[in-house]
Amino acid sequence: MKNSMDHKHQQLNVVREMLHARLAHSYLLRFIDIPVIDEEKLYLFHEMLEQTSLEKERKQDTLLSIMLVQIALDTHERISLKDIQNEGERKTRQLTVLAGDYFSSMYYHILSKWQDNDLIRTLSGAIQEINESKMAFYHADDQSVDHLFKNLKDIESILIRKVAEHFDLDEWKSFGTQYFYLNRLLFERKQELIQTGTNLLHKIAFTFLSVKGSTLTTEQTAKARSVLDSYVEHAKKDIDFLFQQYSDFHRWFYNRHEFYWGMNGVHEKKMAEEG
Amino acid sequence: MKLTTIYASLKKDLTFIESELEQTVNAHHPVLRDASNHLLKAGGKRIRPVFVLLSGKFGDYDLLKMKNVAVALELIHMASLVHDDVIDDAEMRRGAKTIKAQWDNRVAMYTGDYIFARALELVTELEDPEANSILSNAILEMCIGEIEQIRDQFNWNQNLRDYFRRIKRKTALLISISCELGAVAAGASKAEQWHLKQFGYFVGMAYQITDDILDYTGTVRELGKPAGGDLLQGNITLPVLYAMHQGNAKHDIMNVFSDGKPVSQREVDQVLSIVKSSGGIEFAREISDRYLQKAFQALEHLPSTSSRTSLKQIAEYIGKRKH
Repeated sequence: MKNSMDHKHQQLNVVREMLHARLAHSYLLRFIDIPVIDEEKLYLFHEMLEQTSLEKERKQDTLLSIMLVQIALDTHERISLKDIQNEGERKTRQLTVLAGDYFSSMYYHILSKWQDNDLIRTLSGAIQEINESKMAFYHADDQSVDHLFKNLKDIESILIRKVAEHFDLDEWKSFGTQYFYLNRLLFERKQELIQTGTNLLHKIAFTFLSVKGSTLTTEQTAKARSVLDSYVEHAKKDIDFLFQQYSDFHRWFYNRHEFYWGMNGVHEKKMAEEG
Repeated sequence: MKLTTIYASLKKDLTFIESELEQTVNAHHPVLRDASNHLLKAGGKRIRPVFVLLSGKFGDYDLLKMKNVAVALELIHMASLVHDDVIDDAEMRRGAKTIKAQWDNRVAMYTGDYIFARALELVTELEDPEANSILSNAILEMCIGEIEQIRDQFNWNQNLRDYFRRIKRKTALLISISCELGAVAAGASKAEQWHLKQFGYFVGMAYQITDDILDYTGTVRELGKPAGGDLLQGNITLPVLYAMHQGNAKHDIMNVFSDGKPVSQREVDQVLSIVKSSGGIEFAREISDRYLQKAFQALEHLPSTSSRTSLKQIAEYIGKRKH
């Protein structure tokens, strides 16, 4: 057991280093933050690819490509909307655009080397769907609140679902979807505890509470927060059900989930409400 | 000769490509669909699809196959323009508002990413590993070139080699692979693929140098923007590179930009005048002409057909164009 864990960590370290080498463009890093590698997605995709018959080097490159897609998407998500105030901000914006394009070009380059036409098609299809969902989430004016949360779930899970389908790894689809959806909800909830009136709370208010204007009252914020919490609770039930089904298989995720869940404060609030 | 006259023999096929372009960016979300169509409707020379189609005529021309390459390359070009407008903070393109101005930066990022992904998906339909290999190498190089262009802004110590390498990546590569991939998709011989690739590269270099000249000589009406825009953004192109090696021009030009303050129209006019009187425009024209001559030489290796004549006419147009 220990040996297999060590072996897994070694494999992950190799891919992590390969990723860092690809991401560490000296000029880019003078103006943009080093891209964050989502360790949980890295682990998830690694576990998925371990169940395929790909040879070692190809497996590494495939994992590298999938992670580059995620990092490219995340990089473009950081584009600022405000007016540029100085040259530093101008460079940062310019290089945020180019860094995302550059990381995206690398996934295509790596998969072309392996002549993996099918995976290029799968990943480019996933990118299209993710951008459709991002646009729907961003321009959510005429949507129901259910649609808003569905878009959020899609943004977090389309890449996982498409990769799982590509390699016929269906059991990872629902687990990956629910796990990363709940993660995103907890992230959004954590954001709103630090800074009142985050994007998601505003969107809930606009779509569900029909609020006009840009500032939420205390009452509107509380209502929007309670809507968010109801979705968090629902997502929690779904993932607990899946953890029961795959308890050994997904132990690593379970431990991390328990840690995050303990930190987020939703259950304390619920217990207090229930007396 | 006008481009439309040269394109006449391809009219039917280009109409098909245009309609395929529209269908390919027909996204589900209305804003994504509108934004994708926004740039498409603004038009453009469609020079990349034309090069794909004409190059395909040297092999076994199958429009359905050619379509995948022609549409994909135009979409890659379009996606890069959408992102370029965020990079340049540009409000107008081809006489219309840019996507980032019409909507915002985020919509522009999503639209560019969506269009680029559609393009790659289309190329995979060719089921040709060589096509992916050629295209993926070019795209990676283009991205590196774009990053280097930002890095080299206001770098007064760059040399001609830096400039040529930059415009190769920025423009010539995509035109070069338009010709090469057209030939590959049609199964033209390796020798023909090579000569078409070379032709595209030389034409692409001439095209960008001409663009860089027009930024100094064009009128607002011809350019759709005031002259001197490149240098205002810190992009040091061939006319100014030449000027900087003449007399005190380098010192005078650097002086205008030295304090980091916004540059006035009077100062822009002053720099334009320095560049023009230095002989930089004539020098750049001469280099552009040399590239065109090399492009014509590359064509000499190809069978004498009407497509070869059209390629030559397009190259000639590029050398003489005013916008």
